Order: sequence, then C-alpha cells, then structure tokens
Amino acid sequence: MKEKKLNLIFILFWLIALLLVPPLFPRYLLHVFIIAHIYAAFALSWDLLAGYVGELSLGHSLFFGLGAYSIGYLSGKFGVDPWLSIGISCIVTVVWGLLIGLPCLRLRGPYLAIVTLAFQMLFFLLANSLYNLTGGEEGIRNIERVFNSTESYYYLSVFLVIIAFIICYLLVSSKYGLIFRTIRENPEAAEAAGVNIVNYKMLGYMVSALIAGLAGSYQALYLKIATPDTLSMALTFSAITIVAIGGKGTLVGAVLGSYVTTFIFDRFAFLKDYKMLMYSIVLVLCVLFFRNGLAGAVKRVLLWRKMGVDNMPGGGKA
Amino acid sequence: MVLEARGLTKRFGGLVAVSDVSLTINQGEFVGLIGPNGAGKTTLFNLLTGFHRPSAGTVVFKGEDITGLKTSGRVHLGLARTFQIVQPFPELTVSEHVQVGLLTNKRKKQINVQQEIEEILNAVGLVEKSNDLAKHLSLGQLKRLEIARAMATGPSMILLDEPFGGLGQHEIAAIQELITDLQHKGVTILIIEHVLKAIMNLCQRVIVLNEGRILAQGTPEEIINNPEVVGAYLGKTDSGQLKKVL
Amino acid sequence: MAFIQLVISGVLQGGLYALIALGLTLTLGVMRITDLSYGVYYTLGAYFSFFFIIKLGFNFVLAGILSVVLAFLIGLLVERLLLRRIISDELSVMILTFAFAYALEEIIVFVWGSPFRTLPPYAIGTLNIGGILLEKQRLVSFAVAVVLIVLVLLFLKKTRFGKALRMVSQQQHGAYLVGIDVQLIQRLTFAVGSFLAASAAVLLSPIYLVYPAMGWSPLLKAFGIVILGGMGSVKGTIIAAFALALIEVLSSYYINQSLSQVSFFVVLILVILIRPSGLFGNREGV
Repeated sequence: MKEKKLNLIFILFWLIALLLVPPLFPRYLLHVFIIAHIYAAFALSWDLLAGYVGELSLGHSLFFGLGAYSIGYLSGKFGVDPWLSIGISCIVTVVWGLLIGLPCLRLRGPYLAIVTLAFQMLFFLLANSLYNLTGGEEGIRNIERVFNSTESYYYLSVFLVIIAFIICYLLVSSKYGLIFRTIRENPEAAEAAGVNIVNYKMLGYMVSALIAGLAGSYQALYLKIATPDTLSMALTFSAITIVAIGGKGTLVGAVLGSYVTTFIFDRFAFLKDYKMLMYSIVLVLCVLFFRNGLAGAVKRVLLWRKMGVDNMPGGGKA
Repeated sequence: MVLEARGLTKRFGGLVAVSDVSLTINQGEFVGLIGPNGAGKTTLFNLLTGFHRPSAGTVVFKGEDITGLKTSGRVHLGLARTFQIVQPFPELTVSEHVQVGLLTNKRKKQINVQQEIEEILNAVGLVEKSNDLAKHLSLGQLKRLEIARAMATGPSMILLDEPFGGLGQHEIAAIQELITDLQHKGVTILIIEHVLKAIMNLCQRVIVLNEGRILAQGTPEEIINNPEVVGAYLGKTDSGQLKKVL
Repeated sequence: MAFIQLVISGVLQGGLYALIALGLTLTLGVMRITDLSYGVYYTLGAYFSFFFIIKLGFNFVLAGILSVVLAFLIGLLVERLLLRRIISDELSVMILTFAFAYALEEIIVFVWGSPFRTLPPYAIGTLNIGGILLEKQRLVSFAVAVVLIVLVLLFLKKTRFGKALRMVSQQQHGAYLVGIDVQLIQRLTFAVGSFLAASAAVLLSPIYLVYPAMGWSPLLKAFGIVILGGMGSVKGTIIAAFALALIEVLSSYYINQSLSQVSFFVVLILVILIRPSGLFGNREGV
C-alpha cells in the first residue's frame, strides 16, 4: 500500500523535525509548538470518531475539560503526585465516555451529538458557577510543576502527540479501521455483515475520549491551571475547524491543521480577537467547498498517477 | 429444521405489517417468499434477521431462540441476508466488503484472508473489480457484491431480498447460477421475489404472504394454481400484469 | 397553593417550549436532517426585536412582525444557499449547521457586542386571582404562542401545503411520486421552522436576557422535547413540551434552583436510556 508508506515517512520526518526544533529555534517558539501539539492531540481524538466511526461528538471538550479538572483536583487541591493524577484523570474521562456512550451509541441518529453537547454545556455552566467546588472562572490553580525547563515540557508534548497519532493510526489501519469505516459508510449494512456496531462505536468513542482527556490533562499540567475554557464550546469548535482545514478522516490533517492555525494566530496576533469568527466562517466554507482539506490536496498531488487509474469509474478494467 | 418462526407479529403504530406468521425452513431447502407489494415480505425478513424486534412471537435458528439477538449476533450464528435496495459501503473497495464479512466470522479461523477474498469474488465474478470503490459499480455488480458480503460471513442460511430486482435477463441468469451454486454447497436459502418466474425452477417450496399473513404454501405448481393466491394478486394488480408476475 | 402557582407557571412556560419545539419537529420530519442552527433563529428573533425596538424605536407589534418575517426569509436563504448543497450527507449537515450557528453568534458579537441586553415588557404588571400571581407579560406571551401553535396545526390539517408537508414527512419518496415538489416543501418548512423559533424569541425576549449565545439552550431543549415526543410526532412534541416545562419548574422549586437545568438533562438521558423512541413515538432505534 502506497498510502501506508506515505504515513510512515510522514511520522519519521515529523519526529526528526520536532527533535530539531529546540536546538534550532528560539525558546519562545517551543511554547507555540506545545500549544499546537495539545490542539493536534485533541483534534486527532475528534477525527478518529468523526472521520472513521462517523459519529459526531459536538461536546468533545467535555473530555478535554474532564482531563484538565481531574488533574487540577488531584494535584492542585489534594496534592496527589501529578503523574499519578494524569493516570487517574484518564480513567475518569473513559468512565464518563462510557456513561454517555452506552445510552447514546445504541441508537441510530444524532443522539451522541446532542447529548455530548448537552453535557458539555452543563459542565461548562457548573464549572463557572459552582465557585466553591471549581473555583469558578478562576479555575483550579496550584498544579504541581513537574519540569523546570520549557524544553522538557516540549519533549513531553512531542511524546503526547506522537503517541496519540500512533494509537489512532494503528487503530484505523488495523481491522478495526475497516470495521469503523463500514459503520461510517452504512451502519445497517455493517450490522448485516456481522459487525456489532454498538461495541465498535463504543471502542472508538472510548479511545477518542481517552486521548482528549490526555490532551486536557497535559494542558493543565503545562499551564498549571484548569479553567472553564477547557470545557468550552469554542475549544470543540476549534478542533472541528482544525480537522476540517486539515482534512477529515486522514489523521495527518488534524496535525497539519493545528500547526497551520496555531502558527497563523501566533504570527498575526491582532487576529486573536476574531479567532472564533474566522474559524466558524472557515468551517462553513470548508464543508461547502474544501471537503478533503489540506491532506486531501496533498494526497491528490502525491498519489496523482495511482488515483488517476484506480478511482476512475470502471477504471482498472482491461 | 434450520429456521423456525412462531407467531411472528409486527405492528407499526396502528398498522400490522406482519401478523401471526409461523413457518419452518429445513436444512438445505430452497424456499421462495412471494406476495403482492406491501404484503410484509421485507418486514418478515427484518424480523428474522433482527433488524426489527417483533411485537410478538419468537424466532428459532438451529434450535436456539434468537428473538432477542442483534443482527450481528445472528450473522455470527450463520444467518446472513442481502438487501432489496443494495446497501454498499460507497467509499470501500470491493475486496474490503468481503474482508469485513470474513473478519466478523468467528466460527472459522482465518488462515489466508487474501485467498478467501479471491475465492468469493471469483464465485460472484467480481475479481477484476476487487480494488474498485463500491460507488463506481453498476447495479448488477452491486447486487452480486451484496451476495459476496453475505457469503463471506460463512452462513449456513442466506435470506435474499429480491436479488433480481431491476436487473436485465443476462444479469438475472448470472445470479441464478450463483444462487444455485450456493445451494449445492449446502446453504439453506430463503428468497423474496416479486417475479415468481425467476425462481420457479429453483424453489422447492413457495410461501405466499398477503397482508401480513401466510396465505398459502406449497410447490411452485400448487401455488400458481391456487385460486386464493391468484385472487390476492388480482386485488393488487390488473390481470395483464398478473400474467407477467405468475 | 404554591403547587397550583407552580403548575400554572409550568404551563405558561410549556406553551413557549411547544412553540420552539414545533418548528424543530417539522424540520426534522420533513427534511430528515439534524439542524443544529435552529437556535440561531431564536437568537436572531431576539436581536431583530432589540434592533427594531431599541435602536429604531418601532412599537413592539411592528418590531415583532418584522423580526419573524426576516427570520423566515433568512431561513429560505440558508436552505437554498447552504443546506441544499449537502443535504444528503448527514455528518456534513450537522457540521455545517453547527458552524453556521457559531458563525452567526460571532457575527452578532461583532455587530452588536456581547453584553446582555434587555427589552421592555409590552405588558406590565401582575394579576392576582385568588392569591395566584400571574405576570401579564407571561400571559400575553403564552396566549400568542398558543394562537400560533393552533394556527400551525390548522395549517397542517386544512391547507394543501400542510397536507403535502405531512405527506413528505411520512413518505418522502411517495410524495415525490405523486408529484409533490419535495424540495419546495422542504425549503418552506425550514423557513416556517425559522419563523416559529424567532416568534418564540420575540415573545420571550421581554422576559429573559438577550445575548449572543442565547440560542443554544433552546436548541438543546427543543431537541430534548422532540426526542421525548417521539421524533417527528407533532402531538407528542406538544405534550412533551408541557411535561418538560412542568418538570423544570417543579424541580427548581422543590429541589434546587440551580438544578432545574440539571433536571432537564437527567430527564433527557433517562428517556434515551429507557425509551429511545420517545414517550409517544413508534419509530424504533436500531
């Protein structure tokens, strides 16, 4: 498979490039990279679900926020070891994923989208209003510092995003990936082909929640604070836009998209106030006119000859 | 006896689509299910394969009560189906359609998946198409792909929902041959067909469904000469069409 | 006495919930799409009223009529320019409508800013009937909502358009075969939905705060009501709207004010768990 090779080459180059960043670029850029990696991991988790399983999680920041607040509570409030806190917060997000997924994924229809959205908005509301419990808008501070240098945080973010990418990649290129795509393409037919669609959707949802939670707890660890922003609709929306710009259902797109957007907003700081306005308009345009995103465009160029023969109607026939 | 339905009933709101249907299908049998439009044939299929839960009644497959089992669970037991309106995975290749069926087939150890895919695609005549996306296939090819996907799950019984619908003579003949092959391999077959002519020579037994109930069953000859059956069709179609149908 | 007072508040609230959810039910049934931008028309209705009343000084009747007519026209445009292109792709429709809703929210922030706004009530004062207090504003809003609902129901029952709409909702392909212009019906239904959401906002904006993100909560509630009512059943939707409003009002009084939001979600989850086809529906989940 040519596509498989491309993906492996991509991972390799990506990793090398990332390791060259600290010696070659100014310190300040490390911060931008770290933010891009957090978004990339979060966007990957969204893409795994939307691009492969075909389920929309419109309140996906719920898991990001659960990850952030879990570590905030454990480390910031109760002084639990931060590494252990990350482990526990992963369990917390997965359990919440189970609680929401089990009732919703049994059903065909927009239930998951609506219910995750409802939970995200509810949790956002609670995080803002239950001051005694959550610190309100201030959030939870005092998460223990684990590294003294930004470089270390940077390398950890590289580890996080590469691991997230590899988990997603291994999953979608295995037999599970094929099964996910059958569910996305036609759930009834998948069931008739012997796919227990509820179980596999749950699997995809759990992994997605786990990665989102990891991204959230990493952000809290890095910024040493968990705020209601981690539970906001804007965050989910950013992930969706990043995936749409990069290309849905490609994984690589989620990574490309988050680098592009993070660096644009870093370079042109005056745009920050209009970030969500621009995101929402770009997303509308992407859905209408740029369905395959950047990754789709790149792939079309790289696989030009192959695509030309194989994907023509009736192509490949002597 | 492979499949048995007892008192199957399905109500949609006030409408009774299938009413108190009991039937048995024997191992290796080739049974036709006919009836006018809206007789409840597809609903009955959906009940047998678990796409709908019956309002009343039970389904037994190989001696096991499967009424509460999901479709995929039934497939794992060896009960496969095809759809009247083809249900491909548009963005998946032909061989991936078969691969899914093989992956979910838990009763069989897969030694050589590629070889098995090829065998099945060979049987349905889609080998050259194995790397094409399903969205680029013709209707006839999609109908064969439906059967290939069902075959891949390793069924002991297949329910075919109008496999000839919308096809020309040539393609009908190809699928007839395919189905006959399946029967020779010992697969039990229940087939819905609107055009009885197409399955006359294949079926050992025909069940006639009308307004959700079993109106008659017997050999194809008995069915054609059954005045009640003729009446049921007359109620739905004009006599000119009737001749074409029966 | 408190209980009667609460039930009456619940019923008054229920009428407006029913109005909001009715539009969503029609859109869902006729278009078979999950429209996540439905709340936008609610927000727009409120902001148009705000604009006409506060900025231009129109009287509230004229402002209300202009607002809902504008919402209707925007609905027509959105269906034609955005939705029609991708209507067969379920996921794209959801992403697009979500993005559109978000975009409009941001545009409103851009144009009118993000602070909370209030509109003057058009009926001031409280009625006291045997110890039961009734805000006149809520009574008027409820009455108008009921009139609108009845008009929609009559419209569905009596007019040719209404019959065609119901046909498309029940049997899209059949409707197409008998010569109904399905696309036209869908477009108009979408616009009617926008009109209904906006009119609920016009009726509620003197009571609640007006702000850019105000549309999300009614969107979710409308979905909850539609699911509870059985996805596409008009009768079910109306009953569910009153039921949910009552649950909300009673739970906020007897349990905890801040839990009224939570109780709504709890009900929604329970319904999805126990009876996904809704309390009054018969469509089943696979």
